[in-house]
Amino acid sequence: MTTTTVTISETMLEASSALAEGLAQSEAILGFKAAQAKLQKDNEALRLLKELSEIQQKARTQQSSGKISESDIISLRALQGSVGSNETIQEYEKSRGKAVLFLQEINQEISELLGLDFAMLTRRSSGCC
Amino acid sequence: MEQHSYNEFEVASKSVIKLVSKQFVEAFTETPQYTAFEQAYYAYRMDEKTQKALQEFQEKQASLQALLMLNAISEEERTELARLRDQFYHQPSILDYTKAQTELAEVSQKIGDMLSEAIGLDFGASCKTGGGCCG
Repeated sequence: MTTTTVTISETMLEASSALAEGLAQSEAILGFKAAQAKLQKDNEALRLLKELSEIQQKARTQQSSGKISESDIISLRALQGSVGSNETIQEYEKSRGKAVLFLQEINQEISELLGLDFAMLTRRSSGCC
Repeated sequence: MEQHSYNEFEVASKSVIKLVSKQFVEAFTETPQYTAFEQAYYAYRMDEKTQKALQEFQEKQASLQALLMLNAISEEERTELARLRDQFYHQPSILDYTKAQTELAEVSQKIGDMLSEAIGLDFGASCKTGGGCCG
């Protein structure tokens, strides 16, 4: 991969910074950051997420070899249930969903004005074809 | 451009965000990379030789689609398809267009990094809708 140093004009930097600040101070992003901060302080929620991630990883490995144990399936379902009823995690997921929808809406407006998908251009691996 | 500074508890209204988005687009379209991209795209679309090369490649690809899916095309057809693809991708106007697109993407990626850092989410990944880009 080649890396080049691209120069961005002062005007462009100012406009990008204004957009970044506007987005960061939007209701959707402020809500997401508040829920994220709450989640990071909630040890019980973090423990559930860590356990779920571990058991999902284990299940994926076992699935590829065709051997998922009955006890792991029971543990996985129980953890999924606990995560689903954990208020902090659900609040975080909901706020994340709202933030994503909001960003998509703004990107759509920018992209319509530009005549190209701006967010796709920002992705480092934008190609799929 | 006058920039507003927000305090910790201030919420930016949707109308303010729409306004800064519009100003952002104005600044973006004035960048040398965007201007070069627009010009290169126009030149590519207007270049009859390149468009003909694209058409020939696409027609050949379409005619072989079923065989390609089954991985059953002959060596001769594979060589011919590769020749037509190379013929298209080596046209000066597609080379210029691809270069301009890469340079515009580099600017966009830097801006995307700024946005992602400010919002605490990956801007580009968050804006992915649907499954693919080839449809």
